[in-house]
Amino acid sequence: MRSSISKFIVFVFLLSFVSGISAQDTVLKAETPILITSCGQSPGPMRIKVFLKILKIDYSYELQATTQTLITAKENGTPFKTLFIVTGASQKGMGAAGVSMKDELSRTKALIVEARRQGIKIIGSHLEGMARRSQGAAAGDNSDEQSIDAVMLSSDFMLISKDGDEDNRFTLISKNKNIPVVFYNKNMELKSNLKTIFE
Amino acid sequence: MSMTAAATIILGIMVAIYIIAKYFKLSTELAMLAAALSGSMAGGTWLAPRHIAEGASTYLDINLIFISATLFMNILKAAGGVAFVVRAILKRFHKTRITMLMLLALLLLVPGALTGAGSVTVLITGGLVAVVLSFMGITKVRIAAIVFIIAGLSAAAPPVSLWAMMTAAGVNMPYVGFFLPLLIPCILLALTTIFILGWKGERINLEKAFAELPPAPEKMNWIRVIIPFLVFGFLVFMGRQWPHTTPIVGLPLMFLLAALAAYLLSPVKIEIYKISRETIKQLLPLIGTLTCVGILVQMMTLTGVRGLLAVTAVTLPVVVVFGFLWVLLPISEAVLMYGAAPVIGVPLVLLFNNIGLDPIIALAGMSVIWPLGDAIPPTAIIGRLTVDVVGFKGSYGTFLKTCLVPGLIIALVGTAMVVFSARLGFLTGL
Amino acid sequence: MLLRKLIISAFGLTVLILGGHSFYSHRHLKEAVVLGPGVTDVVKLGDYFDGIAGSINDCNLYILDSGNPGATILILGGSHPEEPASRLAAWLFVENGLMTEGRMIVALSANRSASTVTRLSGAYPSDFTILTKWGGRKFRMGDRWSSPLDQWPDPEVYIHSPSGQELAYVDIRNFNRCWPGRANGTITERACFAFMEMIRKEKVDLVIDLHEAELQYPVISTIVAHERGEELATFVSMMLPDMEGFNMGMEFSPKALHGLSHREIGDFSDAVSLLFEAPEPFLDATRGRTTREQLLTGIDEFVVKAGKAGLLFEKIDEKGWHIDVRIGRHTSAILQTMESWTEIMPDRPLSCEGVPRYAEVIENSTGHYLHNPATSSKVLYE
Repeated sequence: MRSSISKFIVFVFLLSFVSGISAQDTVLKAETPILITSCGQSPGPMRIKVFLKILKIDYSYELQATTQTLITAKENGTPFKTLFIVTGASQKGMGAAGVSMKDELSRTKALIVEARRQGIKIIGSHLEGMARRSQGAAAGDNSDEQSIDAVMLSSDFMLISKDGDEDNRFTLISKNKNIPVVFYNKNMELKSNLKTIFE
Repeated sequence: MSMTAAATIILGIMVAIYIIAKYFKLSTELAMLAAALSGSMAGGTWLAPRHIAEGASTYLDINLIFISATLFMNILKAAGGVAFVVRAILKRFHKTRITMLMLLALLLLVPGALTGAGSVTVLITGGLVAVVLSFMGITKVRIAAIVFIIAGLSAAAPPVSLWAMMTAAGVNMPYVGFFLPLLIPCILLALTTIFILGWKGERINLEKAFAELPPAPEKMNWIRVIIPFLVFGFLVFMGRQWPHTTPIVGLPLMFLLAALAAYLLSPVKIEIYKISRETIKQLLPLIGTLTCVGILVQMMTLTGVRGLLAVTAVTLPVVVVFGFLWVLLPISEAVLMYGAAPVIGVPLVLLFNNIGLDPIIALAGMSVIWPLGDAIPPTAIIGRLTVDVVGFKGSYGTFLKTCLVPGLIIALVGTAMVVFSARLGFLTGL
Repeated sequence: MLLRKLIISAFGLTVLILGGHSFYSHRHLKEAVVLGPGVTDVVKLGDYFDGIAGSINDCNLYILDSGNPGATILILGGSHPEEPASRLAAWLFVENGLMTEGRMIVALSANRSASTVTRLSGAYPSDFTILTKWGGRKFRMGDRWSSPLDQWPDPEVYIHSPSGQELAYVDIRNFNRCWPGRANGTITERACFAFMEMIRKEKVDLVIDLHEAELQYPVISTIVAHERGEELATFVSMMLPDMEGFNMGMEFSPKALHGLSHREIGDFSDAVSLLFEAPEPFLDATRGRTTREQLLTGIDEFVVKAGKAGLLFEKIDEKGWHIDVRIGRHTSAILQTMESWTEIMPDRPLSCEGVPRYAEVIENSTGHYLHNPATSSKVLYE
């Protein structure tokens, strides 16, 4: 019995260590106004938009937001407080937008610099599971992973679909870079997570 | 038995029957038919009459284009139009070889570019250009190679490039952005070909040439020659300029209307029935080949042999694919003709797209290489047609050898377009 | 010599007779449709546009009206009749569906002409049979393009109306490259125009165009959405894994790619347009033997090999992609779309009962939901 209890304590200790700063227990907060954008022009950001709309939380949705978007908002006296960058590359989306992955990475980099300058909280998000990871892309296509590197390492915290963490990519980023992460399993949990974050 | 083993055995049987049929002196067409039927039998689908009939209809449209375009050219020839034009060109440009060669290359590029069929180039302007080239002191075998290679490039040239169109359709990519990526290599390679093969020659002896050339009828003039072409060009122009108010007549009827104009404008009496019979007789081997190729492809698809070839091609390592494009594409064309686009082109474009290459430039590069296969047996349709039209009597192997240098240059350029497609993306204008 | 000619002629004649019989039977094969409890009316596409009336493309439109207020949804089956799950999923709605809110219009053979021909050099079977407890139901296998018997010749290049975009010449017979159609165009363009007229006259709110795709095609297992349908499609895409246990992605309809239903229906009517793609290994260029069995089971060693080489955009293993799985994906996706639509627009609800979902179709098979025409009083033919 005693051994079971000690095993349990060790297990809980290890679990808390492994999950690192896994945010399920930590309450992560962010404020409105929110700017939702993409790094890779996948349809992922639409998921955030749909739920924020249902939750009646104000947002701006600009898939190709630039530093000027942040600057203009500040000049107009309504600076953004949160920048949602959803990762995942879509060749079709980038083709339709007339941009390349290189363009996307440089736009995102500049956006992050400006957000930092203005003290905007950055939430890095990956919402479309392994289908929007290199395992879902063709051999040699690592644009999904490039978008993840560009965003996640500079984010204040991450909001991730557990489906997309089969290889522990986001768990490791969280652990190694000390960036809190919120995982969700069912898509409907994304809604409740957003509610908690912006409540 | 695994699918791979079964398809490999069937392929082996088909190849064996083809070789045996050739050994027993059966024509290439009948040998292909025998191979197709043996494949069907070995695959357990027996005679499969539906598939024989369906396969035989695959290239019906192309056959009709061949017949109508050849009839047009034969009427024009009988009317004395061809002799008239050859004489006129010789008279005007015989002193400047470069201009002559450039003009002739252009003359060869136009019909195929408009129709997407190299055979139309061979049939419409190939014979005429061949006559002029022969007076420039170029050997028949070199003439045949020039006409064949540029005819192939004309088929790949825009606006109509069937390989690019069929492959683009197969990957749901709009046929846009192809104009410059196809036009630039086709023009440059056509000029390279005609200069390589046609540069050496002799100065034209105008008197001798005129004495040897068939005389043009007295009443023949430029108007009588040009109007039939204008009829054809006008019909194409109408269809493109006002596509939604012009009835769709199709290329065969366009050629027939051009033929009618040539018939009505002829200064000499045309024996239309005789010429029609001769045209069909002239084209029968070609029509037979296309019909049998259609049956062969159908049976290969039915039995899984096509899948075996396709999956083998696309699962090769990318570097190997790059290295073997110059072999793979012409051979696929030789076996499947335009069928190579959906069978080999689609998976390759998907493969290239996946690894971050520009699919439009890559496909344009492939489209330039594909027509080279039209000289390679078992089909060799355009190659054989060219040899016939030009009147080269030597061995087919000599003709192929003469095509080798420009062919390799084309394959090299096409492969380079594929490999460096990402950097050439600006050519699409998208 | 004479003997040789006689033998070849006899061979040709045999092929002509047997092949001709097969083509004739295929073109005239009558596919039974047992009208389900929800079908309140059956009209013709030609009722909306004279230019298509009485032609081969004057297809049946099955109307399932709940009598209760709500939105109107149009299901397009058979845009590409070489994608049989798209037709059969629509069939299950007609034979089993009962609308409780709103109205549903179903086309089983949107491009009927294309359902009467198979692809040249494709070696398709002319038909296939879905087994049921009482026997089997036979369906025509079709093509991607309208039959040349109904529309010929093709132009040297197809210039789409009204965009002016150049497309491959054969695509002038491709129903899903001819939207929004032309009143005085080809039979395929006229069919699209007639559907647009119907969509406008019946004030259709939502159009779902059902398709299947080869696994080598990047747009697979996905919903392609017009911009006015992006939120809806995103919602459905999120709900499907949660509620039904399978994934379906979402892609934006490219604005520069013309002639497709997800682009033009949305642009030329008030309806929201979505296109659903399910995986069909039968269409893959690398497929092995072309058989009825492969068509139904989706089992193919060569396609699996292509998948192992990283060339596919959807997973495949030795189990293949059975037609029940493909049909179930479509029925569930449609039902989920109606539920999501109602959630987003509660004042214009859509609700349907009686149609099996993904898990049910897989468990009971498609044949379980096809009814016996011999014992049914209301039977029509496609």
